[in-house]
Amino acid sequence: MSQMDLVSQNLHKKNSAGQDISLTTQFVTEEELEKVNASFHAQRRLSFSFGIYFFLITLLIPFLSGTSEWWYGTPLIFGLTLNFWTTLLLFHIFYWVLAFIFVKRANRLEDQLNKM
Amino acid sequence: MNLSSVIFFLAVIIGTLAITYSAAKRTGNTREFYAAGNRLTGLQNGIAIAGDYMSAASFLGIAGTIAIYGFDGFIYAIGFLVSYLIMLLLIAEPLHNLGRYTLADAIAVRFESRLLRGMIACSTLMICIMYMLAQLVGAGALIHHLLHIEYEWAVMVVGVLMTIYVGFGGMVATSWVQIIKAIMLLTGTFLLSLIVLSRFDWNLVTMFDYVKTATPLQEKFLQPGNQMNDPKEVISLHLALIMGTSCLPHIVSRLFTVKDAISTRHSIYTATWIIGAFYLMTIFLGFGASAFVGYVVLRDVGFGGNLTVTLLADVLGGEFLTAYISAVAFATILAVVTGLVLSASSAFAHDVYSHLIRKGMASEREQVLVAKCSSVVVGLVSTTLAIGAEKMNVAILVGLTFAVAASANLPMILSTLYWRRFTVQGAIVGMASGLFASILLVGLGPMVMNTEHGLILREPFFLLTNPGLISIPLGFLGAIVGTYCSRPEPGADARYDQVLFQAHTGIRMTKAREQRKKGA
Repeated sequence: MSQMDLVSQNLHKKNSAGQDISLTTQFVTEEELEKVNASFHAQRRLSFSFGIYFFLITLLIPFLSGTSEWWYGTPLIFGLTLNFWTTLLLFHIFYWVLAFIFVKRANRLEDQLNKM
Repeated sequence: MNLSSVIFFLAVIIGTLAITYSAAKRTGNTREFYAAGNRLTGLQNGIAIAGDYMSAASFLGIAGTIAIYGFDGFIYAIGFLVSYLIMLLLIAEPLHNLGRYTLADAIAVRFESRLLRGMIACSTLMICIMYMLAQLVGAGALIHHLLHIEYEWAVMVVGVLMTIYVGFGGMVATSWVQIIKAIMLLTGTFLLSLIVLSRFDWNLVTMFDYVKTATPLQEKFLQPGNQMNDPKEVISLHLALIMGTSCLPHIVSRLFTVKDAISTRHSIYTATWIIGAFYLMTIFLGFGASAFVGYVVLRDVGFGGNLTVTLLADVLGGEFLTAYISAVAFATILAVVTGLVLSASSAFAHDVYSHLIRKGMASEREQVLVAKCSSVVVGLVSTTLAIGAEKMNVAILVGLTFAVAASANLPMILSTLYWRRFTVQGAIVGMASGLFASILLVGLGPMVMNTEHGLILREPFFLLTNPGLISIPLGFLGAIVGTYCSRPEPGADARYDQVLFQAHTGIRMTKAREQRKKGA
């Protein structure tokens, strides 16, 4: 352990005795701080990469709707176009799956951080 | 008003007042009053967020839009839904970890500027009051139509109830009112969807084929362009919806009601499922209405299609189902305005009074008392304004709400969280430019300037109904210009490290290192 030189305070939580632990002090080492920073960067990478997928797919739909006839004009499933099914249902599913995977991965990062 | 309606409405009122009575015993300190003691679980908070967000405009308006315009209604609904992914990916966890009760608390971890806190409080008050006014005017008209109560009385009943919930029950009562509303809304929507689908032999394709023959739009009913035919307008509207939702103060304040980041993510994830499922079901409501109520009736009854769901309930389930759906609409309105009153009174009591006027010296008891009093004032002001605004086009206020949230708040929030060079001057200029641009462009746009039904009878100077396409980039531009025209304050780098640490862990690094240096 390197020398303890940072103090942290937990602002909101109460300990089991009901005492406000914002009044108590915890010490954080440089080493721990680095681990937190690494975890933060991993978390940020995760957020932004998912953000890019989300924006690309979301922007692709209006783009295809304006440019590609196979997308908006060709009946494909039960006489309805891909544009219709995507707006009606597929986009919701994509959105839920993306949120699900993101939450799983973000929680895993959080667990790793908590184990440090 | 029939007996079923009286029973359902009384059940909603008595049930929610009982919750408030129970919650009132637990609002003795600010943490309980503003944040329900951080005791809500992710699931509870997710349902409450959905209850807070799914307004009467969603329940009644989107179903009406689908019933009249078909496919374009889905596009409109998607804008409301996807906004939560932005919140989940970029905003929810850091804001939860940084803030205590309000958005200004989270920003103050990085910038301790009184001017900035004041501006955020003003923006919060402005957004809440505009959105509340829109909801109250809509509520008054709707309740007047459904229950034949005078508009003024209808607004006053809603105004009094929302003030009681917040004033006595704080965030605990508000959360449970929203949870009950969300459950009622989902149950009502699910029930109607099942009935509609059963009428088509449980076959979606039969439903799609039938609705094409039931409206004058025919084949076009299932194709885009019936209502939204200007791509710029569609993009602008969706930008404001997607970007604005994650910065609406009453949604942000819900992030502080859970204990940790995992619960925060769980909250937003639960909300996305509920809101997504709800919008999927509005398709059955809309298509059901166009099939069984009929285009001509929907068009002639007026209210911009807002009575679609109650008309559908009447056709499919008679008086009893209509009474239940009307009570759901009533609970929907109550839950949304309650969240808005709480958020506005928190902004005033916590940000303006406790931090700006009393400079953090107010006692717990004093803060709670001011918060309760300010909820009464907010309730009184918005009810009075709503009574006077009966004939106003509330679409202006809704458009402005999302535009201000997206243009003034989002650039400031994202830059605070993710931009090291960002300065307090950048935050102030960004907020001011986004706010000014939104108000100006709405004022010069077709919602205000219109030769047929505008507040100003003339051609608009600005052609887009929603200004998001221009005002959001202007908000970001203001933040960038303000930042590069100013110097970072001494210690800004260390401060940003502190923000990053706290945003990720929820633990605040204090100035021990600085104190050590001072000591040295």
